[in-house]
Amino acid sequence: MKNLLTLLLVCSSFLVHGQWIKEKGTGYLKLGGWSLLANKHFTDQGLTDPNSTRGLFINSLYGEIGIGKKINLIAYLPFFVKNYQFAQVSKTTGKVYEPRQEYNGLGDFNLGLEYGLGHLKNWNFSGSLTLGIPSGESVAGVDGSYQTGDGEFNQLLQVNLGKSYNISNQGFYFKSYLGFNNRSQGFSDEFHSFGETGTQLFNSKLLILTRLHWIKPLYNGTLDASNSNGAIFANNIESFTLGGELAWTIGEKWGIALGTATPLFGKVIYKATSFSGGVFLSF
Amino acid sequence: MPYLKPFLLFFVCLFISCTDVDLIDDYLPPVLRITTPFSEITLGDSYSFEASYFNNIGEFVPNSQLEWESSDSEILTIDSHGNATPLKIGTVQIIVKTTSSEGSVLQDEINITIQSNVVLVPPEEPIEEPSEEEQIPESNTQTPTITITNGISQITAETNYQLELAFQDAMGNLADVPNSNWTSSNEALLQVDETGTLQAIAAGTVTLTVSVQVSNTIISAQSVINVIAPVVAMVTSYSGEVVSKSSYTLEGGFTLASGNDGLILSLDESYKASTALPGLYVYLSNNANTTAGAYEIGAVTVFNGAHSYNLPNSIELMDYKYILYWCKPFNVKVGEAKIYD
Repeated sequence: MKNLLTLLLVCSSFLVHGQWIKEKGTGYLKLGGWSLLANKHFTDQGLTDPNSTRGLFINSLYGEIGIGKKINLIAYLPFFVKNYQFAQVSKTTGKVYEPRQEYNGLGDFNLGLEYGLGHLKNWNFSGSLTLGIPSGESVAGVDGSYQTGDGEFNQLLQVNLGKSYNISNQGFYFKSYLGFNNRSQGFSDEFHSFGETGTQLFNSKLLILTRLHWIKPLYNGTLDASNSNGAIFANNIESFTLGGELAWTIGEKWGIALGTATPLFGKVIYKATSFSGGVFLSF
Repeated sequence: MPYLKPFLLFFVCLFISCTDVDLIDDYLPPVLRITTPFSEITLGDSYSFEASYFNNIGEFVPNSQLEWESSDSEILTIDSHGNATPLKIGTVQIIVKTTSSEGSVLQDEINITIQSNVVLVPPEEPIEEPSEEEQIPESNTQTPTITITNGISQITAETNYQLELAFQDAMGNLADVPNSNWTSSNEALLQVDETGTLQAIAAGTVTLTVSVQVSNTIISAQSVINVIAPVVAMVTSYSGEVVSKSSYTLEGGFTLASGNDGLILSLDESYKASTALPGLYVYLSNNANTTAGAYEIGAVTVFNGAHSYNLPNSIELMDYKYILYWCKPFNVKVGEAKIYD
């Protein structure tokens, strides 16, 4: 019905802050929190249905580190995931039908490498491979639905491009990628596309950016409710998400970032706006 | 980074604190429901009626104080426990009342048709059986006769019937019936006591004989009686349609019917359910808005085509009003079917 794991993925993409390939020994780290609270979702038909209010909160560490001349190591480590549901209480009698439920655990880690392919005019190209490590729990909580991971090992292969441009002497950047996510354990593979543009204001103290992220399943998986035990939460999800972020550089190398994202369209995904925040460090 | 610690504290407080609840709109008007689905009963037996009171969230309230009434006590009487005795053929309304916890008087009624438990026949001709020792000489007297005045050709099993005798003496006058002897050719099917009261046990054909001894003559009468199975008409099944109450595919016809060992809920060939739903369960409930107090039949494992669920025999046909299809993990109704109105 609703895909929590997709949101993890969306979350991870929203934490991407670095732009081009970093030089060896330099990097970007971000300690962040991400939260979503939803009482409705997009169904498998793309329509909106209600659900009991569920929340997801993630503490994560994101990092990009240059480990070679053209190679970056990328890691997204959701070290604390809280999946919870509000208590269900009778409006008529006040009787508690179901107490508040929650499950805390590790999320699915993403580890990847990005390799700089070069540039053409002012377009920069790179390729990356991200491995989705099933370090989370795919069946968790009282009824198995409070999972913190999807239980499958996936490989996301991307072609990235970036470009700088100016509008009225104001510098902007644009970056984008196309990706194919090969999923295992009966999950459908996915096509990913992503676009982001932003600019820096106030003597480069404030970065403001906006993003679009589209995930389209290929519906070639075999997993459904007739042959799985809860793991279908993460299968055949589709989302087209609009997001934005403000990053304010406070110190010489560090600052804070606040972001938000909302799905404009989706299938098997919560219909709710997420909010994120974090502290970043560039070195 | 002097501001790092306050920021971290801020984020922890921002994202972890939440104590809210979802309020389930589960109000239903309280209802009193006769749960004994009789529509026809027969004379000669008594019947126990039951009713259940469901409160404002559809929960069954046990041990409710019920008041039973008959619309015509000449046709049927009913006591305070719902035990009804039909007295004569006709149609009558049985009414039950109780007072809800909110103080309102709740009522339900059911129309009952009372059928005869026997088929009457004209009296049998007497049979004269002179004793071996003595033959009655011809004279101006006539042979005494015994006659069943309310003879029957058919009686319904599990009911009673009182036979009456008439005795005509040798002078042709009606007289008191001498001590009579009643016998049944098959007491496993039909029993009779010394007063002529029949107790029909099971279906079959029985020859009933009554005899009296007058002087040295034994006079008897016989009647062939067919015992038929009980003809109490009651609802034994309900059928309807499961319909989606969400954006997920769910449809199909259902039948809830009595089986050999409890009720069977059957879904027909037209049944289809979305396989995109995690944790789809099927319930029987008296409140279409919640599974609280509902009976959980189990997880849905068939998503297309005919299949059935065997229910425990503790569940009666009218115990629940709705079939609910529910996404259990997210507490969402996917679809429902009303079992009866």
